[in-house]
Amino acid sequence: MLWLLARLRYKLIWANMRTSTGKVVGFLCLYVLGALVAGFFAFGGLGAALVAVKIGKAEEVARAVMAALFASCTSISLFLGIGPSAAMSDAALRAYPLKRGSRFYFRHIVAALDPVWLFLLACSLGMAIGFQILGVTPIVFGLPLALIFTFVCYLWAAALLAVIGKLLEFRSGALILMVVVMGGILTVQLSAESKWIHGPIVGAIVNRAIDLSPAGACARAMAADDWTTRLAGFVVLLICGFVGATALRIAEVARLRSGRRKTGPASAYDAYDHVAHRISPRLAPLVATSLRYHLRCNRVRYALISTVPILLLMALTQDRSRNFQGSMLLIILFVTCFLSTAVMAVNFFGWEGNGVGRYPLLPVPLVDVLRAHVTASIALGSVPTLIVFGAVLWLTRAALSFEVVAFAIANTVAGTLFFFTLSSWLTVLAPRRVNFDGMMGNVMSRTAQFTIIVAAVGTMLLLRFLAGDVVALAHWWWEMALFAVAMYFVYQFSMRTLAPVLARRRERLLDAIVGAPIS
Amino acid sequence: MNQMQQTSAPAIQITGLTKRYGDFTAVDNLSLSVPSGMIYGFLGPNGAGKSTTIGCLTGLLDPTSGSIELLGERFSSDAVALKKRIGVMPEGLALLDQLYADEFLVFQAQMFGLDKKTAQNRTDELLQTLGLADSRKKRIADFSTGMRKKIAFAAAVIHSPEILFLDEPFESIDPTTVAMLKEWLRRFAAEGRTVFMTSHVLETVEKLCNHVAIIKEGKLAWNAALNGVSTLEYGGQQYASLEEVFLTITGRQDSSLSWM
Repeated sequence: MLWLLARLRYKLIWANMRTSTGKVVGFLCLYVLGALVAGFFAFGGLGAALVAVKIGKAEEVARAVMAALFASCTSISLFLGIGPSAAMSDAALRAYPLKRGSRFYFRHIVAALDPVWLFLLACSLGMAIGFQILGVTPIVFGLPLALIFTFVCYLWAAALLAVIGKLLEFRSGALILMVVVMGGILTVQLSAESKWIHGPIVGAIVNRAIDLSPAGACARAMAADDWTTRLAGFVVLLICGFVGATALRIAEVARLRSGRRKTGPASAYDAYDHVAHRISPRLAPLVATSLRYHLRCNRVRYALISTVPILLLMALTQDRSRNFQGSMLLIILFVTCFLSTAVMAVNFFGWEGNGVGRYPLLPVPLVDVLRAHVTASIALGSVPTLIVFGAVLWLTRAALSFEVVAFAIANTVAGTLFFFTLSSWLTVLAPRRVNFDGMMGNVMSRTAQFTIIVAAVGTMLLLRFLAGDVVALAHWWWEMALFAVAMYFVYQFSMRTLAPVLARRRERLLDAIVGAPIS
Repeated sequence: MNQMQQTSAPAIQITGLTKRYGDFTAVDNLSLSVPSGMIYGFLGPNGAGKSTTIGCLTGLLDPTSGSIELLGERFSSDAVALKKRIGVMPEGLALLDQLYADEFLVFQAQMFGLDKKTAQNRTDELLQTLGLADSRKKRIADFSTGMRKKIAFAAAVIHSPEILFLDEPFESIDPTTVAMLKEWLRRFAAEGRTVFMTSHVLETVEKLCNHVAIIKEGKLAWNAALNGVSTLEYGGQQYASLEEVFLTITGRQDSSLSWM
């Protein structure tokens, strides 16, 4: 049975590689694995052991190599999805004649047989052999330590994945997760630029954290100078294993309370409908539905929440005058509205899954559905836009004039219409089915990715070239206003042009999102 | 069931309908006429072209050739006014999964021209009758298969259409609800409206439908009235049940498994 399940796991890994998302994941995994292999030959395993002993810093080098291995293998596992993958879940294994304990045992044994962990084991064994050759640690100790280290690393990664899985079970959990991840990235990025990170306190904290991790503990047990320290390292490694196993067990059995509302007011006509009716009376039901889709999507909610802080961070962390910061934000307004909902705007229909098949049955032209989606996106994107607009006014208050306000408005309108025209075409021409509830995995076609990248990079380039004096920039308000008017006509013309295109491509759109209609 | 109010123009008139996907012909020169006030069973094995035909009849798909008339008017995918007069429960159900049940039904009703109050009232009635009142604030994505079928059915009838297209309407629904839905459909047809449905449950079709057509490989193989008929004729022979006719047309599969 174990052999069959292990084979199934490898077949699934291979099957995943054949999808386009899988190819990206595969590429990343190969890239990271390649880097690991290079690292292994340069510093790791046997080589690392030899170098470590030669320079007289066996423990330090072993610790660094093991920490790198642990971090890399854990991140690869997050891409591949170890234990909790659908085919290896407890629910899936219930279909087989296995008892509860056996299911847990099988699941984690099979998951620990993933190539990534075998690779980690190989590296650790290489190091153990190196230490044996150089007489630092006998292989009878090194071998079990390498095995224990690998399994403890697996337990920690599995526990982490289980926690992420639990968080994704309810909406705000996913949001918390993304905020934590983004917060972490931003903190690291900002800290990296500050002198504080290089200070002794942070260094001591990082060292201590590695000491208490499986990597630090295993390195000490394998290569410390005295046997007392080695024993202490071994005990810490066992404790790490116990902590990992307990965390995994708790994360697996924990039942988080879902934040979703199960009951509510009897009326289905709510704030969404009122807002939609105000925005567009003709398309109100469609706009209300689109607003619901936007605001119930974690990715969009995350984008709406994070757009303003990120944009403000980009402008305000510049060590320049308020005038300069204000001019940066003035330019950023070109893309603010679009970026807030871009993740959905470049592929509106893809988020609706089979539901997209409902629209051709409705007594409205399909292009009206697209218009409603765009309207909803712009309406939601206008909130972060207004906040950035307010920041511009505040930062440039010394130089505030009619020209500045006119430029800001014209720039916002032009950018918004430009990008939503583009995204409407992408929605029609490059649809892709998206998992609405998933926070991971790619949601855009390559064309859409390209557009988003161009939007972001283009804005950054503009920032570099145009940001400077607000007054000088605002002199261009008249040209920008003309550009906005031109964009308005381009948008309207596009929608007219898109109507027959969308009608003609309806079946291809459905095919791409729902699947072949033949039955 | 026999109080049909047949009008001069048939409810559905299909002439030479063909739908191709590249080299594959899903529906091949299909012609049918369905009078008003009828429950019309449209049968066939998997892959015969039933759902493709319904897709063409409801504006989901564009026919490669042929014409469709609904309620005496030429139908195409952009016939917006005519779409308001039909209700559809499509294959795959096409539900907007992220909406709550009541939101979805109100949306559907409003899109078909019902005012806010009527939409709300009908939604309440339908949810209550179909046993979904307790789940009204649940995402459709979280519904069971049977509940999804019920919601799709409710969405098809909420605007009181003149023709109802149902693709496998009773699959996965509990027997009590199925009995109720059948009664609704009989009353619906008795009022002169038309039901065009597919099903693989031949006993249900035999008891419910007035008329039945069987297609095989996209072509019409047989069509006959079922009302008050004790035997069914196909190819000059008499058959005791619809199942016998169906198996004769589509071919029996007698192969057996040695180990079963």
